[in-house]
Amino acid sequence: MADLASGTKVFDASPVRGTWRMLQSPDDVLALMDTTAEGIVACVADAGATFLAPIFDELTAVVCLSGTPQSHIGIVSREYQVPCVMAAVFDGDQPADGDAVEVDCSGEQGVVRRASS
Amino acid sequence: MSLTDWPKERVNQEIRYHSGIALALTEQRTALESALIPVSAYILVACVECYRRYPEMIEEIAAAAAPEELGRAGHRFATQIDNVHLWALPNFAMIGRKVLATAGLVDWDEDRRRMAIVFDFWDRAARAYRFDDGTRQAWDAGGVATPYRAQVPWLVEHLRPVDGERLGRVTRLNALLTSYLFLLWFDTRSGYQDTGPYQLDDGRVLLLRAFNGLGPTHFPWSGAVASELPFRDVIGAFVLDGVDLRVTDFGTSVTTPADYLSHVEEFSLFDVGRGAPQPIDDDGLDALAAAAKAAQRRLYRTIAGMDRRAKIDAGAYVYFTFLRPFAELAGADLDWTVPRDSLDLYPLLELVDGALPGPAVAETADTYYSAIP
Repeated sequence: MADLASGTKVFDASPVRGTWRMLQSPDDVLALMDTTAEGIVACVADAGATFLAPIFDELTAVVCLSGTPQSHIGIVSREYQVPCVMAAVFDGDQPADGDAVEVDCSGEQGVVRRASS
Repeated sequence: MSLTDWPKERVNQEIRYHSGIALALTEQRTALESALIPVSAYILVACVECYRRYPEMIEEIAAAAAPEELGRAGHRFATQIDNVHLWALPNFAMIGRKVLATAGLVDWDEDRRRMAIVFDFWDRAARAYRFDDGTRQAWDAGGVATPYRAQVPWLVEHLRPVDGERLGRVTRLNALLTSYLFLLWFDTRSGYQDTGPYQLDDGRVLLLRAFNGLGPTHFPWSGAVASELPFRDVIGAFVLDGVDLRVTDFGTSVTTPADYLSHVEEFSLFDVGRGAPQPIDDDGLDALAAAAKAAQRRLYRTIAGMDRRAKIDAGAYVYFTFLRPFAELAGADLDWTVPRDSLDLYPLLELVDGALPGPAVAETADTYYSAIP
């Protein structure tokens, strides 16, 4: 599996696999709140804690495009034990919504890889 | 008790002290933006209000109670006199000052007088909060803040072991309360506050995590969503083995290893909102977690339904009222209306989305908060 992106992991965690979703607005979160966010690897731009609040406990992993482990979203991911990569930088294009990905926080950095679905 | 008027050099000395620490903390934390809440915009509105109003409000508070007395009140649970509420007093005013200085709106002689009031109050309260040990913040002590040290022996007697099944229950509750309070407090970490490390005789360390204001409070949005929370203020006590624990002046724990939860050996949650601490049994933990989860979902819908202006006003209120616990303890009746004194800049401030305004070049410890010329 090729690495798609890497960033700072919030804590050590074994690799997890899920379905990539770029979440951009509260409506995206509300839609998942009303159905389910289980199995989702959520990609978000900003490092605030509140955007994902009602679905955080269902997420498989979080990939944030900014921030550090001490940013609010990093703190919350640590408490939920949801693997999280901060300030993720992509080597090329981001995955499309619905793509299968792996988030690996077992090494020095947090890594996002394409996974076979 | 009156507050001292400081000469310019002393004010500048204090500005330099805070500037370096604030820069380092901000670099660790980075931006605070959220796709739900326009955090940067509301911070600017609130901090301009803080610079323009805190000195007079602080004088009223200090006239009603000595800063030292208010600082020592933070040794009791549920007062919200804590790391971040103390840190905020000078720093919020200085962030507002930074914004106003960028726009050429600071009168420097008046600035010296105003900042002296804020610094003097903060210095005296902070020293008392830290037991007059010569430090003023966790930063000065290498990440140590132990305001509840007198209560630790009693708390330790009421801790319970954490096995695999109970760890899952504790982890879920802790995460839900943390996440819920971030939302209730509009993406600030002031609703929950970590203190420690409290060194135990057997070599392990105790982390105390305060979850404050879980139910209806003075936040207008709390009444409709939080009325079913069974507790108002609780303290979580975590005994950690093999963990290096430090806390920041934002009230956040920094641990090595980062995943401290797998090192929790004992835990209890205490109700501290009704006088003496009372241990909460595991059924109570589950009930609290369920109520927090439900309240969080209601609150998210409420906030998502607010327009941008309403979100900025609400967030600015949260930030501006960081002074409120001091006023309430002192018995000072103050005007908490916000926005009030930022309306001239509001059309500009509300457009900010992302990084706070500052110079185009990289900030340094000397420039993050600029000295009085």
